[in-house]
Amino acid sequence: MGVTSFAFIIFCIITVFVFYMLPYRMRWVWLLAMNLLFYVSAGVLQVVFIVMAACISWSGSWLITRNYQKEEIYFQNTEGLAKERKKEVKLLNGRKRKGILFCVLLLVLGQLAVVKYNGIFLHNGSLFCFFGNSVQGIVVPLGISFYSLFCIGYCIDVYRGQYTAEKSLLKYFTVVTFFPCISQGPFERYGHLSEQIFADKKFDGQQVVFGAELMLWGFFKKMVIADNLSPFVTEVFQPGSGGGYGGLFVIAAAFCYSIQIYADFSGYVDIVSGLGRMLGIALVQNFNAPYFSKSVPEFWRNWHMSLGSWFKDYVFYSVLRSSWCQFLVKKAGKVFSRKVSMNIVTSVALFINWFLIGLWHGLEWKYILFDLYYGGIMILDIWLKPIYRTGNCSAFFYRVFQVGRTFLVVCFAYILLCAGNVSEFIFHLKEIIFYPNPKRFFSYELFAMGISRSKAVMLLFAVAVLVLVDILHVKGHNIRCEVAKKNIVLRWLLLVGIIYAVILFGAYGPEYDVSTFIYQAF
Amino acid sequence: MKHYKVVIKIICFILFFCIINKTLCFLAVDDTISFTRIMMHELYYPDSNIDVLFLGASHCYRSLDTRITDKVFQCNTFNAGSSNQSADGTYSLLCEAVKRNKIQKVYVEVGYAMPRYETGYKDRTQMTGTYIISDYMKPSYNKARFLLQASSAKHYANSFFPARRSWENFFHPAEMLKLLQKKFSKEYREYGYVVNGNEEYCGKGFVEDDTEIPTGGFYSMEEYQKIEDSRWSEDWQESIRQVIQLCEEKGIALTFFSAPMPDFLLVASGEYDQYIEFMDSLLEGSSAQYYDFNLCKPQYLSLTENNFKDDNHLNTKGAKIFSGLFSEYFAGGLSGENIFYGSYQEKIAAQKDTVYGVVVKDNKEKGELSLEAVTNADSMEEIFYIAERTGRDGQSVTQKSSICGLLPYSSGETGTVDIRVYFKGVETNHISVPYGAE
Repeated sequence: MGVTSFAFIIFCIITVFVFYMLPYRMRWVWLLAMNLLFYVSAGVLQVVFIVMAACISWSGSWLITRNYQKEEIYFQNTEGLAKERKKEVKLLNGRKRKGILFCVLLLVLGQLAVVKYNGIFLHNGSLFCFFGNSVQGIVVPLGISFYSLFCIGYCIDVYRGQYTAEKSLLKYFTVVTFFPCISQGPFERYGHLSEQIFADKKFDGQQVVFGAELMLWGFFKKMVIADNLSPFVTEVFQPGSGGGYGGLFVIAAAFCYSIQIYADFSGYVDIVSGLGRMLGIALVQNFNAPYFSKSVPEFWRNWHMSLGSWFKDYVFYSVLRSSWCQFLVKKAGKVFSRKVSMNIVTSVALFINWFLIGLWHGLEWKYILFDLYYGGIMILDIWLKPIYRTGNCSAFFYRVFQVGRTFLVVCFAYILLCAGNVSEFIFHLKEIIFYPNPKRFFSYELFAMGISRSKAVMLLFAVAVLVLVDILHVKGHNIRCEVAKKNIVLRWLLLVGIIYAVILFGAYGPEYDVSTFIYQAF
Repeated sequence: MKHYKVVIKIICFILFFCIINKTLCFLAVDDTISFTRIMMHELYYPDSNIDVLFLGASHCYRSLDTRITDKVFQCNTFNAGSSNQSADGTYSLLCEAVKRNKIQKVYVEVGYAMPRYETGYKDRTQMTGTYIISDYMKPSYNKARFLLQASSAKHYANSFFPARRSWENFFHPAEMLKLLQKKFSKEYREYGYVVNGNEEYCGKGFVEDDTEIPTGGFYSMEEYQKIEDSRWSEDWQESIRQVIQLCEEKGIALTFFSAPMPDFLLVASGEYDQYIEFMDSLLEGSSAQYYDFNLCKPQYLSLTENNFKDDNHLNTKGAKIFSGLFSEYFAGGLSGENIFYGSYQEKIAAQKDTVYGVVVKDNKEKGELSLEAVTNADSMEEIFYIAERTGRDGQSVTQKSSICGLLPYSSGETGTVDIRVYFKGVETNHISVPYGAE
């Protein structure tokens, strides 16, 4: 069930309506049912994988919690135990917990690897050929990359003692399968989500209206902007064909893609966040006007924020805190200053972090290089910070320059992301340098590539609206609250205006292939 | 009180939403030359009660001249035919008509093309036939049901928001201004009758067309789909059953008929009798009757090429002839006379051997025209063609072709070819067709 489909809208209306009709204690059961229904609509067999991931992580975390509890009881019953013995018991239990966590990671990541990367393993050689034909042709289950990380995060949190494991498998399953977040995030944390799902919430009309408005805004971004830009970008970066239109087309397509991917992904997040809000559940923020960032690190703090925060908490800090990293700090500290040695270790942790994000995006060189490109810039940022972050950085034009520079750096990376593979990326770079083809670019051919003149004008308007809204957000305006205070005619005009923009200009229906969300592929 | 306010707000919002929908539709959709718009207006606001209603696709509104049927039936007849009207459209229009009129008789035109067009309503790709009706239907449960059942969900936005189909007009302000000027004109506002080329709306649903096919001038540039290969749409049959049921409930006499089509088309389309059998079996056990005017004996209905506007539809002259016979037959003027043959095969066998027309296939890649005469003769041996090609460069080549009718031309060449067909040494057909690369 596509999130922009008619069926999904009906599904949401039914979910929200029945949710508030039911008594508090029954609501999570209803959500569980709807989660399963949503998931089953993608394919009955796909449920097997999410059930496995949930069962493994739930059992593992439960074992870890039991181990904690046993340890606590042991210490309570054996008061006055020698400090050394206590340390020994703690170490032993710690190893047990680590072992359990390791098993959970192995199984959940193993399932992710087999299912998501099986085609590549089977294609590339005999290393994984023992999987045989049984996994060949498996359709990558909906949201496996997202719920696998969710389950792992949950287990690590329990391992770190941040909270005790959930006793009820069904309640845990309700949180894992929470359908708005299942296919593309945002990456939620168990504690944040479960508190809200199982809380007793009264119906709040204002929140439902706000949620519906947010969903509408998401539909606008996805269907009016992203899906209308898609044909042009696809045409220029046609997989396998190597394009051949010329460098200016590649540059234009990269700019268009930057808008497309932002509108696509943030549109999805707005849709699901709006739905969450209608159900009284506030999902984590995933975007914060990323294209107004002044540097690449700031861009990644504002882009797919929940993914960055997940990798920061569970990978980056884990690596930094690891014993071998501490060892490295000590060793480096003997040769270099403390700051330099810290920079070395941070760089190593950043490299690992971004390498793993690349792997998570896909087992292809282009994804790994794409993420290492950002990792590299961030490492450079650490080392060069003292040099370039001097002087007055607050001048308006300097900020504009910084924003423009960051945007160009990001757009450059999109060429790699859009290209079929690394060699096509190199081909596109050569096109930009040696074959810009301005004659063709400034001919009317541009309008025959999926974006007609009318569509181009419409897109200009739509993107202008998107930019305006982001500027207002950056300036600290809460647009929905401010609009809610305006008089009813203006409010309705705005609302009806956006509804009709989606209905009239949205790329859907018989003339269009329904575009899947870009991030659904990861 | 609070709930009351919320309900009022919701109703007002829906009304506001619908008003905007109507306004956008008015601004974007160009229906200034639409016959159906006027027909639907007249259907909703007839001068007097509609006694006899004709329904069906283009064969209906081009074949039955209501000026003639009014005279012969001596009551108010109305032709609610519309282009590509399928059985679900027929049913919906019938629902609208019976709500507002005391109808005594309904005649539904059922050409063989409609039931075989569609595998199922949900698989429809072409929705024009639906929209030209629904766009002018008044808001009602019947309209909503019609649109929801007419297609899969992916067409719904186009169905319920007509402005979406013409959204590009919003970005052509000059065109939109021109359109608005037309729409604010007295003619448009007062549903003045529309003339479009040779076509003219004549009132109460009938559209006449003065175009004439010259004698011996039938041809087709593509092979017709064979009737024997057709699968009859289940959805279409279901809608026909709904029409029958509604008429039975309302006590309306219902008749199905097929308007006359050129023998060229029917012979080239294969076993036409299979369609007649299908219709007979569909209506078996119901109170409705089926009459196929393609089976008419020549002493009652004799139509030539000059009575058709194309290889499918009657023109003004043809409609006049057919409307007369139709009205007379159903008004009882020909009672006791058997005006129909038992089968189409029988009709064709009764005719003199002739060539009805030519199917010309242009294989542009090969550089070859193939000609196939459509005939009722047992043997093709006495048929030959003389073709004269006039290329774009003006060079003329005369070629006497063999019976297999293959005319090669050099690849990349383009022009027109003048084809004369001879049967038993006499010229029967003469056509001129374009050929070659675009």
